[in-house]
Amino acid sequence: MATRVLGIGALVAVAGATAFALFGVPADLNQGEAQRIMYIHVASAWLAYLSFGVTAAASVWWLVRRDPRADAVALAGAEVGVLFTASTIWAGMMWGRPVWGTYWQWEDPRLTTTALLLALYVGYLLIRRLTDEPARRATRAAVVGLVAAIDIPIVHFSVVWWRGLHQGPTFMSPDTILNPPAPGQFVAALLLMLGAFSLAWLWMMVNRYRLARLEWEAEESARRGRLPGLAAAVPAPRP
Amino acid sequence: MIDLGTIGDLAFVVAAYGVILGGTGLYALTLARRLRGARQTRSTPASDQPRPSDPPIDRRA
Repeated sequence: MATRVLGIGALVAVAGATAFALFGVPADLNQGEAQRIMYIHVASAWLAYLSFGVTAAASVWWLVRRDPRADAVALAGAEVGVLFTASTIWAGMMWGRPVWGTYWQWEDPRLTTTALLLALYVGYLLIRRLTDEPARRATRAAVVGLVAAIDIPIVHFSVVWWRGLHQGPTFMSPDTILNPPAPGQFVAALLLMLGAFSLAWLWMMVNRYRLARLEWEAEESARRGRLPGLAAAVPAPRP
Repeated sequence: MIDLGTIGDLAFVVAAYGVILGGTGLYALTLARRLRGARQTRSTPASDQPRPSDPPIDRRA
């Protein structure tokens, strides 16, 4: 019931934040309408970071405790993170074309490291399919999840460490909420979008976690022969 | 000739949002369906699960 309320709330919040970002705030003086893409681009990027951070933390949890819940959290973070990273890249390309004159530039460190981040976590999801034995799969995935997490700070600080097309970090500037400083309406639209997307992120994380737990249970039950149909489909664990 | 507008105008921005929101919505719907399916499988008694020895279902009939 609580998840359903969360889902409905997320839907309403995303619709409201989108309407405000597209039609409520004025267009930027320099970039015009294209600047509105910033709201969804930055919100997606932060939730991608958060998702992969959750995967990394859950990977440590699995390696230390061997708790199946940790593997389910890690999987949820990776899958939802891939969705938000793809959204970030898409929004960035759509913003870049009118502002930079190009959809993509491989020489830009932020763009390239973000593409690498997407590839790493798609790889994480693919590696999970290499074995049907849940514990072995979780251990392999946890190692990959931790190695892939090294790219998160590289993506974030790439705009500080190297020169490229991309602007500096939007958040975490020492003296302003937004960098470059922006009118209050722009900040409000961004925070609203971030809040709305966070609700949607939470709903997806909770449901993906639940699905992963059910899948794990089904695999374990099949191994013990409680579900004969599934038992035939899942190979016996190796000695 | 259809005027598709200019790259960077509001229609372009709305389309960019549409792809992200559409993709996210599609993922959410798929996730909800997968979760419902997994719950139904879990609540189905073992005796009702398909067995390897069961004959294949002839869907042409």
